[in-house]
Amino acid sequence: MTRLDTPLGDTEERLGQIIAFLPDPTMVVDRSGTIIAWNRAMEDLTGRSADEMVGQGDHAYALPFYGERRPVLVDVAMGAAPEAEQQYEALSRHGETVTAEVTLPGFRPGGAILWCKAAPLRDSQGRIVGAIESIRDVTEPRRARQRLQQSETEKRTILDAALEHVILQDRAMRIVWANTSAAESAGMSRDDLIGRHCYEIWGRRSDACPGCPVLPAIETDRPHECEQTTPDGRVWYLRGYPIKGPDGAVTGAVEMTREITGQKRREQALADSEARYRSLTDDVLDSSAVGIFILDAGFKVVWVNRSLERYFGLRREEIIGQDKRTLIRERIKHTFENPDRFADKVLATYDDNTYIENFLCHVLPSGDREDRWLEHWSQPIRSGLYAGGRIEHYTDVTDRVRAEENLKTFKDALENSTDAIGISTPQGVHYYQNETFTRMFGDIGNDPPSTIYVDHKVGREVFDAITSGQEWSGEVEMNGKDGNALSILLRAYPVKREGRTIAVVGVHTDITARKRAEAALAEKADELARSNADLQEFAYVASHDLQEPLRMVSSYVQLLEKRYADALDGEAREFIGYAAGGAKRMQTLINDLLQYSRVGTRGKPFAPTDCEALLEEVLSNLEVAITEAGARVTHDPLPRIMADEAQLARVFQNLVGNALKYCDGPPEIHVSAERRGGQWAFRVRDNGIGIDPDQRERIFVVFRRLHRQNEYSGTGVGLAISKRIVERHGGRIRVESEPGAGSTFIFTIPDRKDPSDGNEHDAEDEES
Amino acid sequence: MGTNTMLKTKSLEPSLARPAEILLVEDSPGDVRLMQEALKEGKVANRVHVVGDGVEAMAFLRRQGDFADVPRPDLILLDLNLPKKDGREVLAELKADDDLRRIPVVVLTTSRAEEDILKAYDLHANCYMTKPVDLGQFLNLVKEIEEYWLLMVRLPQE
Repeated sequence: MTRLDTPLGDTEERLGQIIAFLPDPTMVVDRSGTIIAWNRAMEDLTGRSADEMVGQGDHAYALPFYGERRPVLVDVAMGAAPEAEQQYEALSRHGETVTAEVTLPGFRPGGAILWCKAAPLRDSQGRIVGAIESIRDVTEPRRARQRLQQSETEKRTILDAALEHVILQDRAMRIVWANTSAAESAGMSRDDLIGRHCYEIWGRRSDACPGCPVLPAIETDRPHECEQTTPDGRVWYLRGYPIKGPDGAVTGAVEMTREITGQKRREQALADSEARYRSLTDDVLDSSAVGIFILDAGFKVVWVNRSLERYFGLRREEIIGQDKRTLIRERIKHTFENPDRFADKVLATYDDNTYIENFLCHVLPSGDREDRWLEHWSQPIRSGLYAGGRIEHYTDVTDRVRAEENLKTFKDALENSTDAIGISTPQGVHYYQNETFTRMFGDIGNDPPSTIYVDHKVGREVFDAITSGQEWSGEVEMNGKDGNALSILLRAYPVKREGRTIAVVGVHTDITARKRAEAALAEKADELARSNADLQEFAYVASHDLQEPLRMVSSYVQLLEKRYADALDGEAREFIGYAAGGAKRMQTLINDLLQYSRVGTRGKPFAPTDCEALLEEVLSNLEVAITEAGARVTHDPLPRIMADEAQLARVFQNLVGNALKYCDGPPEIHVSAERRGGQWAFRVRDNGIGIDPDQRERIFVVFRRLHRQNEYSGTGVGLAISKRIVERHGGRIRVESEPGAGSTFIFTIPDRKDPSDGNEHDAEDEES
Repeated sequence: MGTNTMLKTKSLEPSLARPAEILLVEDSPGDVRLMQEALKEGKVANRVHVVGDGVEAMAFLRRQGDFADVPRPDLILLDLNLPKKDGREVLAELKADDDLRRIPVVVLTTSRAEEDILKAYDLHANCYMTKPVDLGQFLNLVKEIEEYWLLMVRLPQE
């Protein structure tokens, strides 16, 4: 303790003791600036002892702090060094007490900030006798506060720099603080925003926006978020965070708002783009008739369309994302007619994904999968998302393949035709010949078709006719393969497309053999004509030369009988009678034979013949015989037909005559006609003796009689002549009969058209 | 062969003051005889001159050779089938002859052939008749030919 030489007396003593106890470093100086007290805390702060310092004057107290003698705050408090105020910060006065802070960079390593408080000391008269100064080391608190302030500044700067609007609101949603973005967005100064509500500024409304996240954040003490569209069309993303006070109670909220209009637009654009893409795949590619595989660079299936699903009998859910190579080996290849060929061809494209592959494959039917021909066409994908991958198209070419098969069938038919078929261009380049052609003419290469003609000129004429658009058919001579001339029936015609001749087709039928046969036939016909002439000659002989000697025999036998009857006995007369009878009979035979032979040679052209009138005439000729036999002859209406009237009359006469002849009671004869299948069937029915079934064919043979001469007269040529006549008319004759049950002779005559009157038959046809 | 036979006839209504001269052209002796028999029974007095072939017939008509003195016939009975020159040729020749064509020619033959009939009329035969096989009919026919051509029809006078 230091004794003062001042009027403080024992006061000074007590003061010294008090100062010594003060926790803060404290010193006291007298009016002259001499240190009179330097307490222990000051000793600790400065490292200078009271013994060393007390009694020193001339600003010695500044030495530990500044390293030099200078006025300090005690001087300021005594009013002795106003200029010293400059070195202090935050200097303030409360009455005579001055407080200030000072930063002393050299006081300690790193410097120090000291808080100082000084006040003058006065004597009882109020005179300043000295001053007291307390010092507190506030280096750490001050530094901490500075750091805090720095951090605060940084945070505000960050918030201000944020693009989002940051708005701090109290529990009543009044704006407490807002960042620059918010102020700029509102178009107001930051200060103007304070105390207002965000809903009135941005939402232009008087209460919280629906869905506002701030209100629930305050109420629930949890963050909330939402999207809002403001009346100006902008879209916002809002988040509200509760802010708590020191007691943990929610004091307000911070609202972070980000405009997402652009993002929304991009999202919309993305959605649109996706929709377009989806439409492209779902509506366009999916509806394509071409089956499509899209593979990525790893040959995994990216996508297939519906046609492909249908063609392959696959479902895209099952295969998308799968390795196509595995799929081919395990599933796909078995879809095809030739699985290994398919697998080899397609897998090779993955091993060397650089080229276009194109081949035909045949899908076998199974379940929902149809029998189908597909054309595989694939190529590498060179750019974009799936660059390095591959796209495969499968086009349904079933119709084309079937058409080709049909074409092949036609070609086979062409190949197998018994006609030789050759095709050439309109310029005369022969390019197709079938097998028959080769067999017939050999391989003529591309030579013009005219070269196979025996006469090339004819060939060129035919060819010119066809190329000018006409058809040509006729017989020509052509050179066969072996150099022999062939008779060819040629039909040649142009094949046109849109009026233009595109090919020339020749169909050649070898008629050499037919011609030979025709020649043979002609020879036969000549022979027949000669034989016919012979027959005519015979007919003449029969009519003249045979009758001549016969007449001699007959005449002289009769003359003998006439002139010498009286001289002859009964036996001689009997003999002469036989001779005369025989001669007469022979003459009848000759006449009948003559008539028989003349049916063919003496026939007249067919003319319209009224059968009913004809029959009436025949019946009137037979009137005597009818009367003698006591017969009744009836008939149905008979038609008008084309016939040789005289010959037809003869048929009626023979048949009715036979019916009159071969009877054992009064004959009942009925004639009728019926049209059937383009023919008239005439029937002559009787109730006569009938004909044994065994004899039915025999009766139509010339001179074949069924009865002895003394039973029924006749030479047996009538039916043979009738048969020849009917056959000459193109009809048939037959008999239906039972012995004792009568006979019906049926003969047919084709219903020929009367060339002079075409309408009659038409009308008849309409009626029937 | 020029057998020249004079026959006795019974003249009922003679149109000729002399017997009718008939030329029979026939190669068959049987027929010649039959014809002579038939003409014997006729109503008109006649003389039958017989020649056996066409050549002789024309010689007779043209009074050539041995026939220089023969009369011109009033009627010719002509068979068609004759040796050397047949009846058709004879017919054609005499009908082409201005002098001879007016002598009536009756073609009398066994042929019933249509072509013979047509041919005969085409060559201007005056009639065509077929010899019947029956003797009675033959005799009747000849009688009627004789009556018709020698009594009924008027012929130009020489």
